[in-house]
Amino acid sequence: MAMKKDQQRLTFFEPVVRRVFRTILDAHPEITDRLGDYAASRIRIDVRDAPFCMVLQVAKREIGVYRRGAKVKSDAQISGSFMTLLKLAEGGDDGDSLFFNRDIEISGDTEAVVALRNALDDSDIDIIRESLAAFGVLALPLRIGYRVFQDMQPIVAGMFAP
Amino acid sequence: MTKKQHRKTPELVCPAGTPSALRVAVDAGADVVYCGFRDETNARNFPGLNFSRKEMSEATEYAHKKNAHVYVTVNTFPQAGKTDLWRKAVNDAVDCGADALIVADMGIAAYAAKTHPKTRLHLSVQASASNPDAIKYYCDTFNVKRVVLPRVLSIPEITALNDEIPCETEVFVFGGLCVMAEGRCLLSSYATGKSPNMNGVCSPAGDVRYAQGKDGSMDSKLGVFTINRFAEGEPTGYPTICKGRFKCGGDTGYIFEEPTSLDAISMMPELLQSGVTAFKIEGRQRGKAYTEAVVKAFRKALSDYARGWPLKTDALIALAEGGQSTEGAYKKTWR
Repeated sequence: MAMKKDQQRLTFFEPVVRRVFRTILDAHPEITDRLGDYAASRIRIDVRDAPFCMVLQVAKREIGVYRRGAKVKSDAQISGSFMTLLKLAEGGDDGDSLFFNRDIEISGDTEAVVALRNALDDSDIDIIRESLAAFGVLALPLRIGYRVFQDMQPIVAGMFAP
Repeated sequence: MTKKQHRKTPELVCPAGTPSALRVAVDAGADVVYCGFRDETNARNFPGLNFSRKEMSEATEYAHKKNAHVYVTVNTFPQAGKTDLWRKAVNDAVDCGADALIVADMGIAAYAAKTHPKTRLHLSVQASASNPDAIKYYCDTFNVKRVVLPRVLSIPEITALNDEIPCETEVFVFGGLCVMAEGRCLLSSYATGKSPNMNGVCSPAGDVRYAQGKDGSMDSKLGVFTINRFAEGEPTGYPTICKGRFKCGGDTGYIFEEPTSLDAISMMPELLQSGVTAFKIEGRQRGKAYTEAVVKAFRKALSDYARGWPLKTDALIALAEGGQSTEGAYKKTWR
């Protein structure tokens, strides 16, 4: 039986993810500027090796977290592994190369995806550092937690692989 | 007649689609970074890419502090009677501190030469000037100091050309390839109404769609046309018609050219002997990770060559379109 839309939403995680998302947008206003009209696009990020996906809309400063495979309206979609998407967002990997090598897949409004990729590539974001900084005194334990996650990542990826 | 500048090592001219990529290119060892404004005056008019006027000023300041130069591309062709945007781009580039302008259109070349006679003028590959008569005309008429050669000439042809023309030459050594006469190709406009020559976009992203199949395949669509289907795991290329896979004469295949990137590191000794002044890396649409990797690889290759060390020729394959590279026309094996 199909789940209702609100059952597909991971509301427990959303405040945390939203806080990080808005902190990054506040620290990098050039992202919104460079996106221009594409800031209004709803872009779905499918993390292949995680049990969730996200839909972000920069103009509204909104981000939703959903169960993997949830049916959510979006204008464009990007999918890849967690580490691939993280490196792409931080400009640590070239998006075209990842696309040529099938490490990422895109669908929907290609223009919106290209605009987001270029805006992020210019922004010199350090997502992990900036995300952790958003949590003040919790930054240190979260950083330790992230390092544990990095070590465990291949195991976690295996658990959620299709 | 213009005097040629002779350099012991070629100038390394590197791409930047964003200010961040420019800084990365300069820090990685670029002698020059080329870039354009955020509009259709340059041949990489992609969403989210390119420079505002303020960013261009800051970029030239950054480059100059580190002894690098910035060339500004104003290399598309305006429609008759609609040249204001291009003239403004020329004026603003000079105001921003550009060390040279890269132009393609004769009218814009004439305007730049007349209005800013002290600014170096380079002829874009988009002008497709590939013979001595054409190049001499641009040199004599617009005082062009350098021509970027189309990627269709063999090394003996480049050598012969350098002996006959009064200006410097710049050749592509890495990146995307066009099989067509550059600046003349209209294939994209048949499917989308837009071309790189007029609008700065080949296969504009707004007309591109990718569809993932349940079997792991991926369809690449341009406008209403499906131009390629990649099997699961097969490396992909740009969604351009020239690199589409079509049914023709009972066969299905690449009838124009395969998705592949130019990589001329192995041809570096011959290119240096041919008398070129500058090596150019294509890819303003690529991420800064690409820029950094390619600039460092070519800086290292130049250094290795100068020391007499062997050249590492396969370092950049992961960045290549379709997962493969070619020496292109430099190593022409066909007639």
